[in-house]
Amino acid sequence: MEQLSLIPPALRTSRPLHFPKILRERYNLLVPRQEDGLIVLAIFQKVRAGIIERSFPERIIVDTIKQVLNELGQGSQRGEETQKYDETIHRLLRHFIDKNIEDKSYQLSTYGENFCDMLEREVHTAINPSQIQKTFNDLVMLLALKLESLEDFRHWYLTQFFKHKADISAQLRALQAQIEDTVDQLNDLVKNEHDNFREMLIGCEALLDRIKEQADKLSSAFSSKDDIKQLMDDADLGVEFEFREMKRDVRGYFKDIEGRLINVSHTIDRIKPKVNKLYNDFEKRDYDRKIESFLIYMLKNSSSKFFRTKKLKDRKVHEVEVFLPKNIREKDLYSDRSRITGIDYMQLLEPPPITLQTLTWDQDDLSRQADLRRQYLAREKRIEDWFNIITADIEKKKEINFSDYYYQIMYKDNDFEEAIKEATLVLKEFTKNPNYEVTVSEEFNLDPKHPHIGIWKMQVKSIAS
Amino acid sequence: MENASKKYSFLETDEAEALFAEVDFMFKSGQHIQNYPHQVEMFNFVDKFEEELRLYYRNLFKVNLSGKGSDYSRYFYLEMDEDTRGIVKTRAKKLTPEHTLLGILLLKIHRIDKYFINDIYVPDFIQLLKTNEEYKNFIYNLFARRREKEATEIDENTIDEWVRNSLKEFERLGWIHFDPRNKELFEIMPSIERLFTMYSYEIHNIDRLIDETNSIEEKTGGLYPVEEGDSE
Repeated sequence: MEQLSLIPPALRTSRPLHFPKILRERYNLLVPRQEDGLIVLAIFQKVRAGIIERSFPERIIVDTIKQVLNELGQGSQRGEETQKYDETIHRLLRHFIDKNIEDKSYQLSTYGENFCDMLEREVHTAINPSQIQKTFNDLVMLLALKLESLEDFRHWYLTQFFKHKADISAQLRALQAQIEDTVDQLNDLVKNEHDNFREMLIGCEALLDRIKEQADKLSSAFSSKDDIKQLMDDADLGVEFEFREMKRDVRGYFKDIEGRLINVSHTIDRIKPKVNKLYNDFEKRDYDRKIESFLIYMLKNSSSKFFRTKKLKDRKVHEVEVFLPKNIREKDLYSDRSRITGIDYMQLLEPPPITLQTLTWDQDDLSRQADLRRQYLAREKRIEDWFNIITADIEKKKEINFSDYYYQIMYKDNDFEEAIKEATLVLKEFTKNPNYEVTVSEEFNLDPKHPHIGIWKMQVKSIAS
Repeated sequence: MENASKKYSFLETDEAEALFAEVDFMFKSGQHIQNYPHQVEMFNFVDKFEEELRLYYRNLFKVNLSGKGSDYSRYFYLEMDEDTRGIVKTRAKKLTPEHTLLGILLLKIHRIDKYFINDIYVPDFIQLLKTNEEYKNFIYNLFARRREKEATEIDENTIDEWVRNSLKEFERLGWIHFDPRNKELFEIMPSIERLFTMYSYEIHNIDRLIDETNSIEEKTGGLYPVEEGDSE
């Protein structure tokens, strides 16, 4: 931004910088350091609010000094305070405070009051587009009368233009300050948890809307600047170098103002999406909080039923069934898989549990069964041995009468079942073998030792050539 | 027939020949299909023919093809809406309480606590559940009837088993995806948000639910009236 000066542009470049000696020497006293400025401002506000009289004792200044230094975190060490307060009062007395020698009271100097007034106006300028509109109207009206001569124009430039441009700039600074305040509030909202986050966000958003609205109104009020430009373009003073320089200065100023207004709008446009994001974040945070509450509610109010311990491949687990809280229903998922495969999918993966039965063993019965099994095997062995004997005898004698062997089995082994099984085996094996001929006649062969048993005469003959 | 072929013309495409059987199988198995590398072809197919597929499932199977999310978090699945819930009830499968609880825990840890950014190592996840001060006591109480300090090996195994079984079910649904090279690593898929969708009413009204439960507990001393029959 181009800096504006009270010295006309035509004169600026050719002259060396020159400040009054008194300004150079007293600058630090005329422009107070931060704590001094704030002390003066605090006294000014106290007087205006009626908290203290326009004329006040030294004690009021000392109290205000303490108050401001504490606020700034610049408290002094014990023993140093009195000296420091004294030095401060001494500095302020040069330009900001006047002392009444007679009653030893103090009051703010005119410079001090103007300083405070200027500070407040700079910080708290009320945005007033309609006033700006009037200001522009005045500027245009007066300019139309001041374009006859360079001297008249210079007068307009140095008085009207310089006077009003301060008001115009103040309006813009006020807009920018409002934006900065809103951004600070938004940053504070983001950094710190506020109970009334949503309400504060709504407040910030409303503030931004209002700033945007005021910026639009100011833009509209500034439209008179085009009239000023036009008037200057139409003036016959264009041949004058100084006029051209001042005109360039005026145009540059309005261009700068226009740019700053656009910047205000753009800044708001950039902030708006961030505000929307804050809304979303807030909604998300609220939803997340509800999810957390829901989770804890579900865990706290669910119950479980324990069954027996289940043995898995390499570990044991409890068989547990969980139940959701009474007022929470299990949710349905679409699943049509069984129709596609034709097999109950989950059943395939998780077959129904096998019911194990507890068995008690009868040890006596077990040994009895073992004996029986051993007897059976021994009988099978003997049947085989007898069959081998019979076969060998047939080969040797060519013909045998099985009845003889039958009774031998009875004599030797006394096993009726064995003898019957041997008869069945011999009959079966030799009947189907073409090298043997089996003849059974209905003639009982009897044995005196076994009077209750009789067997038909069964002869086996080898007919192999 | 002419109408039918126009309605379901996607079936005539080369993409359908290559992908539809698998997509249909996945949908009917209850799976969710999303825009992730392991499902990208199927996702693109569904995304391309979304409207036709929606008609297809609506007209022929009386179910709704749902699409939720946007861009990389978009996912599709079949669901029964209010109109068809009764008709296709036999094709419904309930998400068990065990799976429901783990799903909400997983989402909470992932979405709110943001403990895991990408892949989640199963033992880490189990360890987190067992040590988190906020809910470990509830978990041990539900699955072991004990406090953490008193838990036996069987109790610990039971919790492990609950987590691993639930994760298997979530993988089947497409809510998570196990790394094929390391079956102990999984990634949460966007479609797990479906769990929140299913319980959105309860979540939005959780403050009221808590108040109601507290009120009942005050009146009954924690005892609920016995309901006759199945409320389902």
